[in-house]
Amino acid sequence: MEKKTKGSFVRLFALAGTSALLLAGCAGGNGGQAVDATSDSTEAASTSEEVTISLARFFGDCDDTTEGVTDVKLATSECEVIQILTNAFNAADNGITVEKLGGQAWGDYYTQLSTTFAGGDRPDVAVMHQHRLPDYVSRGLMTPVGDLLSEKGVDWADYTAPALGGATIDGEVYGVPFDIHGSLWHVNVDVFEAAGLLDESGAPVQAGSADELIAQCQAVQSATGKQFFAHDWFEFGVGARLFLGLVWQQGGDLSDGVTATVDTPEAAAALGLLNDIATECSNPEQGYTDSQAAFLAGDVAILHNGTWVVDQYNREAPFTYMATDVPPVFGGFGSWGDSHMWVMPLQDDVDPARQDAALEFMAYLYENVGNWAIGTGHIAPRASVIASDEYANAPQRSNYAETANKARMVPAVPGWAGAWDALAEELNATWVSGKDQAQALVDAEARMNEALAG
Amino acid sequence: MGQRVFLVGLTLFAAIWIIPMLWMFALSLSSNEALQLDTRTLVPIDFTTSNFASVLQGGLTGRWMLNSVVVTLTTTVVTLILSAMAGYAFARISFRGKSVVYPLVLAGLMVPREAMIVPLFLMFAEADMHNTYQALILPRIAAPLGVFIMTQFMAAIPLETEEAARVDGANHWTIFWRIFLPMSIPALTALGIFTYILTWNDFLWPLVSATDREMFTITTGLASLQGNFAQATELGSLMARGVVASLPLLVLFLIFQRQLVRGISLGSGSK
Amino acid sequence: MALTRSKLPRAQDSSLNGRARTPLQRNGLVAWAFLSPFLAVYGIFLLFPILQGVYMGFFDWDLLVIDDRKFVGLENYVRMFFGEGLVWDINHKFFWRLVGIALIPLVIIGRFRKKLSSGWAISLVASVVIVFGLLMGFHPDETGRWNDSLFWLSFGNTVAFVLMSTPLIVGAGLLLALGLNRNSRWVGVLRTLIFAPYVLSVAVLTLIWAFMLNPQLGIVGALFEYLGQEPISWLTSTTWALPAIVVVTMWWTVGFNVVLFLAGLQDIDPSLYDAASIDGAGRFSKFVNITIPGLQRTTLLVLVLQIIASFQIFGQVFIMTRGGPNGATRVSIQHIYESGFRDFELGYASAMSVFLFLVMVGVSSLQFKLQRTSE
Repeated sequence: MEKKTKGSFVRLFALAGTSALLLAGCAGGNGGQAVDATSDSTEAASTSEEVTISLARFFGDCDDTTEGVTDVKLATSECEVIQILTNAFNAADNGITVEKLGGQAWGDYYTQLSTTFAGGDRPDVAVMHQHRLPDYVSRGLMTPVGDLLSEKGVDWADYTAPALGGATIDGEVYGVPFDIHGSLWHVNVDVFEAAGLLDESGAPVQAGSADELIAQCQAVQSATGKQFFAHDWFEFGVGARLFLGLVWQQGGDLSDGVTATVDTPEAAAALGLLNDIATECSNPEQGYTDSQAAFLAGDVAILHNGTWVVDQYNREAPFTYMATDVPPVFGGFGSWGDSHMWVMPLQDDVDPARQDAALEFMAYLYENVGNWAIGTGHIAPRASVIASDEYANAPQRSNYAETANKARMVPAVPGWAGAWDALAEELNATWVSGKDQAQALVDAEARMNEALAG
Repeated sequence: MGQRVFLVGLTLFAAIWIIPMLWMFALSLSSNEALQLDTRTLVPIDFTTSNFASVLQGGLTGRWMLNSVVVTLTTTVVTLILSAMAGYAFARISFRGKSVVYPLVLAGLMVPREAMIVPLFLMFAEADMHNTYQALILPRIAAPLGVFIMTQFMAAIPLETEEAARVDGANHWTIFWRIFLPMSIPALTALGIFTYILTWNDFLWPLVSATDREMFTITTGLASLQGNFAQATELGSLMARGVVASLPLLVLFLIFQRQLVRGISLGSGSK
Repeated sequence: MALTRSKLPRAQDSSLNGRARTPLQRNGLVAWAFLSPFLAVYGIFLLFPILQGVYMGFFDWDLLVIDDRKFVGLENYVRMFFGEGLVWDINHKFFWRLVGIALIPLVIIGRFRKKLSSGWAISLVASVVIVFGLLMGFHPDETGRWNDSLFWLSFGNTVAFVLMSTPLIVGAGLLLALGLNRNSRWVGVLRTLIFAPYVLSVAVLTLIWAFMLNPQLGIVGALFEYLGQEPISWLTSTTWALPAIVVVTMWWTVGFNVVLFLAGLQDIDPSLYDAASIDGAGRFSKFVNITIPGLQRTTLLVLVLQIIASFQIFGQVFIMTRGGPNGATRVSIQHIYESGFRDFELGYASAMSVFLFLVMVGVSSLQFKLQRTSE
């Protein structure tokens, strides 16, 4: 009995071992070859005139729905738009092949990207959020592309001020803005109507002051019994974005470019209003998924989310839906924004053929900014696109035109990621855990300065 | 009678225990759109197999599975061999320096993996070995966990067994191969299972080392399919991917877990 | 012949404990032959990166600009441990310090029962007095602050997690292993069900449980509502978030301990049970006198591994709560990861890893020491 057990175990073991080693032997070779193919591009360039560049991006992987597709009008998601655009570029007769590096969702993307800077192969073109750019530029890791792309036909003057501002640091342009994405208040118009809060044109009334907002809240809740406001109160820092917008509306800011300035009257007012909303008009136990679920089920009047869900809500909401700007509750317009941009990491050994190919691809993306905006709901960063008929006719876009022109981005300070996480955690503590608001602002400022200094 | 009650109780416990996984399975068969509105169910809502279809038909899913299998199988086999041999030495041989080397090996257990990622990454980058199977296998076969487990179990085997063989004139290698390995099958099975699962589910290292899509493991590969805010928009797909990634492991465990209770007797002379 | 603990076959002993050596045992060359394959790989792929990590701890080392580093000596460690405006107070964290001081009687008992030598006993008492009596009294006053406000907080959460999770997951592992130690096909199915959660990757695990524990979206919330209660939002509660994660971790990893305990149970000679039955011993007596001593080695194994794993917890917390709410679940490894990969401070992250490592080494050494003398 024992011998039989041992015997069969050994046999199984041996079989597993040999097959594993065999597979590793043949397939491992392929792995090695793949590395050679991309790093030996000068050889490739001279033998076949086909240059291969590497593209690092998030947005997911949708090859199974976009394989062979080159018509961007068929796209239904962020992933599909960018993948189809890439397919079309590869299919065109330009001598360039864009190879998409394995990407991850944005959480892991920067971990992966950072290690390529530490050692290893840097991608030729990469996507980057505006708020991350200063960290890489301040360390001299990005290629200035302003003049290089002007030669490729990019008209920087066509970019809106916020978009170009986000890509410019110390007078140099480092990226091709692909969009602006920012805060929007998604409104269930039917609920507003039931509460008698529509104006003459049938659009929801935008609150012009904090008191008016609370009054709207009470009107909606007493007339319909529905939750007035919802957003992600703790998962992805959405509350902090609204906080930022409200501070801006009062003329304040979170940083002077060097240190954090959070312990201010504007911040206190913004935080106070958010806490009032949380306790009286909302449910601070809701995160991203549940707040969205409640909205789509028709149980919430206003959902604060972003531009990336406009097309989705337009398609799926079973009620009359409208996307609106963040209302000027503190007297002016103020709304958080960020930007996806395409950047070119600085290579240790610049290969002119690859750099030229990368610039071609970036210029191509510049030209397709409109397709991206229409396909995803994000705001187009170029004035000519915004003025175009196609864009104006895309669903809901005219309803948040102000955001398009005036969305503001976080201060371009290196180390902002850590500072922002600290701020979000302190703010969340007030409405989720009941932390004292004044103390939260003091702690937030201290922790943010700790992060910015380090 | 008591036995029966006990079994029923245990079965009931296991049924409740497995509910979260049943929920995962139910959601994997539900449509993404329906799940945006309601997720409280143990039965699929708006039943669909499209989540599975898109995962399984994905162009590279097969390749990713293959990568995972190759890396995991090789790592497991080699780890078992190295750990068994080292465990035997630590457990049964007295030699100069053991009191220094054994703690040194165990100390390796206590180093946070996340802290080692960058030095390891730089090492392989310099050798230009990223995006290879070797890069995924080599750091993992040096497993202090394996040595620790094998040492503890081999030390528990009675001395009489060993002495009986020595009387017959056997050397260390024979004793190891003919006696200790067979007697360590439960321990080897346990270690094999752990190594297999831990290697299969490893994420951070394959994330930074295997950046070519063709070299993804099933874990990083499926993660790369995710768009932003995936759990709010494509929950069914996420769950389906989870099922696909874990099912092979579950099947493997089901097959091998019998080895854990083989009841190999250690009394001298009994077979 | 009555079966008592002391009459257990000395077979459970091994050459690790010191016994008369035969010539065959004393063969250094053979030992190194067995060890060298492992040691070779270990030296290159584990030891070397570890040493590099320790080395990095003495530098201001930027992740993105690897070549540009500055030697700063102990500055990283000073930043970790100290702050400005620190004052000492007898009252600060009084409760936990009292709990810590209560360890001293245990040490004394251990000395009495010959589990600890004088040297160990004295150093343990001294450590307890220093840590709980002295060090824990330090805290920043109103105008002062720690250099790194998150360091001690995350370490405290980590220790809390270790204290909560270890008894739970080890105890549950033992109980389940005892129940599942039967050679029947049906029990084999049950074993698979209990172990099944372990096959899930951390991404899937956290996805499932973030939803399960959500009051609006999850089944746990639905159960509460069915019973007429208000669902608790576990992960947004500063009180319940960490315990919830402990429970999730237990669900996920208890299978590991069950498997080890099962393997350990196989090593207990069944003839011992038969002999005890002949002597008329009952089930409880058999359990206490045969099973528990027989599992000593396995228990040490499981305990050490569990404590080490708990000290290194990261994935579940990072994904489910990101250290919140209000920092209630931030653990040391999260702080290390964020310092290294988000703030790019590789040197500082390495220094913190060294600290965590030393703590684990200390705790494990103590465990081995206690186990060894009790054999």
